[in-house]
Amino acid sequence: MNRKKWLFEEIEKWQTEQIISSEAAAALRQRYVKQASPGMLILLFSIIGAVLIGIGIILISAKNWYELPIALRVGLSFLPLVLSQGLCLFTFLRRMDSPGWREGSAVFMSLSVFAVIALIGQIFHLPGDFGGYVITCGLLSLPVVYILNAASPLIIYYYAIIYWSFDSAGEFKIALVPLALGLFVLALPYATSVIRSNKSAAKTVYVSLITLIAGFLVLLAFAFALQMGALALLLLYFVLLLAFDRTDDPGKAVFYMIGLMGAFTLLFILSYKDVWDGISVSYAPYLAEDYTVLGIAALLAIGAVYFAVVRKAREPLTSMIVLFSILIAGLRLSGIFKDAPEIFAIGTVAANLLIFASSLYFIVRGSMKTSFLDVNIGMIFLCLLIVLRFFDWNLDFLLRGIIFVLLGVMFLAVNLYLVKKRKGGGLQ
Amino acid sequence: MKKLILSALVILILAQILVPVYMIANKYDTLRSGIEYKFRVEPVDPYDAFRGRYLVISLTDINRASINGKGGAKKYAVIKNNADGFADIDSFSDQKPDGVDFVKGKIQYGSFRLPIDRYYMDEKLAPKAETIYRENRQEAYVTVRVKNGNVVVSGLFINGIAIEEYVKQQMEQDTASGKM
Repeated sequence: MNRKKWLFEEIEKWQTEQIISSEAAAALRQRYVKQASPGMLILLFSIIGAVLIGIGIILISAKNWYELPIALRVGLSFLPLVLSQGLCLFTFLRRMDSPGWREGSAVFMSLSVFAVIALIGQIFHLPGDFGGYVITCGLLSLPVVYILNAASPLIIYYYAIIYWSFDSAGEFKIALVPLALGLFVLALPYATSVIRSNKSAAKTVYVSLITLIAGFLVLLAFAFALQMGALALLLLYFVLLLAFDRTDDPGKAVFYMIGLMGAFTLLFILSYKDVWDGISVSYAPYLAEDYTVLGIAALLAIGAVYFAVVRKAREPLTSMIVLFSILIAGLRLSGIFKDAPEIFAIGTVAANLLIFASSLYFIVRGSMKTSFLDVNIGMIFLCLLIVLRFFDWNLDFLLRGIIFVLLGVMFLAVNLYLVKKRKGGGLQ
Repeated sequence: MKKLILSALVILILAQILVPVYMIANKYDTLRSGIEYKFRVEPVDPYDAFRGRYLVISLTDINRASINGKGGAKKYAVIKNNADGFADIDSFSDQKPDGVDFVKGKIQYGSFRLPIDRYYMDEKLAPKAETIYRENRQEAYVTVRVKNGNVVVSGLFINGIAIEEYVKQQMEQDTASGKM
């Protein structure tokens, strides 16, 4: 809960307990509302202003002032950078208490780094290598995030590592793949500190949202680079997020919702037989690299288990999906598929059962807590599962028929169990 | 604590200046005092949001030279001028050659690649330059300066005229004849 919300709730209490008069309460409320809004506006305008100026400088330098002598162009290219550095120094020494100055000067510095390196590339006709360019600029910009406690340049850094990881993945530079993860990790201490302190709801949501998307995309780049084991890896990433089962907290709610969407999107993909057939195909040239994926997947799995078990996440769903991910990884590792690809039918069945069980879990939890969000999530997953399986032409009619009958019987059984429990007073 | 963070900020500022200065240092020196060579090229015009418009230049003679070795491996190429006045590769070597002009490059897809693939131009001139080249297929070449293995592009020429001048002349002629 942020401080303002807390204060307003306290004022409400003081008023009802007659510690302060209603006039005093109104005056207090007005005072804090008045203080908050111009601050936010100044902050936003500082960031937008700095971003516009930075982009303007990049575009002006992109024009190519070839008629000027090289020495002069080189000198001029440093001008915005030195200006932004001066601004950052000034902010650090005199304006550290102002978020507007911190964010504005930090984002200006990041963009100036992009401008100067771009201009040097242009003046000396340096070779393309856009990935190398953005990652150099990104790395030269990241420290200012920590130094000035400014979150806005973070998105520029994430852009740099995402571009660079896809660029490396596209060219199969396998050795760079673990490095991309390392670069992502460099930003995590800052992101975590913002999310933990949760001083401003907007900043927390912004930082957690871009961090999650960046993390997901960097892992996706892995998937492209390494071709194998990617689904298990991504699934585990989402499972980690599911452990943040705190929908009342804005920062953590973002983690949870993205985890939920991601995990179920992947489960639905894995509920198709074709996907499993694809996994079972041997990619001999990539087997060596596969161990990198499995190594990272194992680390993520340990993380997921830690969250699910040690931290006692309320979500039994997390444990189920963790088990499922381990099943996929186990099947891949064992190499069983080489001799008996049909073993992968287990995967299709397991994914379907898992979605079904999760849907039920949400419906039951939602009706027990009278949470319409949970009930609706459960119903949507269930309906989607039914529709997808009904139109799944890869499964033959008989098999589909049997699955539907089994699901129906399970549904009735759960219903019966609930009714009995309710009669026995186990449920309210 | 404040002093520590201030030193971090000062280090960051120095790094932000030193990285581009390092990038410039040997390029600038090569450009000023390197030996000039001419490489035949084929230019095409693309766009870079950060660095502006440029012509992709493919070094026609160099890129045709096939070479054995692992992709990405560094190689040195001794260069010489042919009878027609254009540069070509004389021999390859894994070690830095002595007493001859050479360039540093990498093996890519079975051929030798120099770190030259673009020529930045004014945003209005670049597309025009490509059209002129495509329509007339004149002889195009880049002049590069070479020193201690470093190579820096100093100009792009069509029919012996600097491309910026050539395009301007063509645009003036087109205006005069009412084409534009």
